[in-house]
Amino acid sequence: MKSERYPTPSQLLQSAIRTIEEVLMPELQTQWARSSAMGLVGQLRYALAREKCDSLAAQDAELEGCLEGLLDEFPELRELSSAIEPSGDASWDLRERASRLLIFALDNQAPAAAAVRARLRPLLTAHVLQDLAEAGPMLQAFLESGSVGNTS
Amino acid sequence: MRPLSSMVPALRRYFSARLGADEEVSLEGPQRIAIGHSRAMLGVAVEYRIDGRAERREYVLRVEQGGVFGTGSLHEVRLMRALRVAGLPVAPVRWFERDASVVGAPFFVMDRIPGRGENPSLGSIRECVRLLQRQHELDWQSAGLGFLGVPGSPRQATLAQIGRWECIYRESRYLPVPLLDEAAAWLRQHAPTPERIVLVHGDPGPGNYIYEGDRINGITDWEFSHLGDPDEDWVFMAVVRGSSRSKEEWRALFETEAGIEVSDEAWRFWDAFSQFKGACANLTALRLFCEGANQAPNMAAVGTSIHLVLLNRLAAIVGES
Repeated sequence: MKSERYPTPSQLLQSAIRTIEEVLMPELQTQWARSSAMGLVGQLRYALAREKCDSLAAQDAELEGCLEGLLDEFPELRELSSAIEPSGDASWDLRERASRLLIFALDNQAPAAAAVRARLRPLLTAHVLQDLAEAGPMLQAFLESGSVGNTS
Repeated sequence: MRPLSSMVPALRRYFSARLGADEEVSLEGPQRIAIGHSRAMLGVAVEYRIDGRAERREYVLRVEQGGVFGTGSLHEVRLMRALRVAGLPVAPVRWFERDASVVGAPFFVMDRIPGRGENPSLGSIRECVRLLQRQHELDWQSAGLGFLGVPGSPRQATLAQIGRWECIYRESRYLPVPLLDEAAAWLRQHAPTPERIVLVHGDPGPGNYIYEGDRINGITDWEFSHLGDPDEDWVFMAVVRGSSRSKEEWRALFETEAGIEVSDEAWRFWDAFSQFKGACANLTALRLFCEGANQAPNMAAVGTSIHLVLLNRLAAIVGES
């Protein structure tokens, strides 16, 4: 295990969570203060999860692999994919290409459209679920804090 | 918005001037009274003398939060005033203040109406359904609601709403969201043509009214209102605000209380639209949080986890087609 001279970001976040939960929350009087404190704990747990991995880079690699596979197999998709204006941001361009292909596949019976629905769509929905699992502590805090139903 | 304690001197001056008080008013509060995400809701009690007579008033300040969900107050103020004249239960709006120097953001002041918003009784939910039907039957032209934007055609009303929320998504996003782009195209392909154009609340149902027992004293949160298809409100009420009850329960309530039936096809479309609207609107909270304009923890949750919940549900509906 790597030695550390000072507390790591994870240790600092853990300390903040425990202090809010054990010291500060019992002292809070108003509903807004309590729900804000609960939300803060959820936010810090989310920060801890984000410390551990870079999910955007991993998702970009999977998305690029999926898009390249589709374009190799169905060259007719290349025109759609290459029609986007490069933004200089690889993550942005990958998602623009994915958007074009999903829209092309809507209500389209062509084999290429079916392949987009069968491969690209499930990958993107899996990424949503991954992100949701990572943000789970914030969702839980939001629901427990009484914020649910107050979406406006 | 500024910290609550630092608002007191400016609020005392503000209410003294507005109420024409003999001398500076005394103030209880402000206190945050509800967990609103698009607006901060602050309760204040004002005690003052006018012509030597002692008075006490309780008000609610509805304070903008930097454009969360892409809406402003003026539209809401005009609408609430018109609806009160039309006889719907809406709090009287006293003043609209654009000057951000008072509390740090534009706000309006309305009378505090008695009752509560949380854990609504079944009787109040039934009343909410009946009131929504009454709202949809309102003659919006006679009520002077043309300022909401009269659609060129019934179908245009629905397409305009899809465009409105897609635009908000595009202005707020940090990265494209392919499943939202796909959904916008799907919604355009499947948009129904409404049989009639009505005043749509845009966020009706449990949590957005004040009640005592089975009686509703005030319908709140009018910032999403527009002219459009009444089915938008019925389905939104069921799938977003009332998601703790089943679709079947809501359909039975709509039928018994208001004589309303929503077709399966319309239900699916407006369910998808409701998720789309929420997922797009929530990205405004993410941007405000990340840019430091509003760093309350609920903004981070709304902009990430709630956005993702809605996006996941939306992708499932579109994928079923």
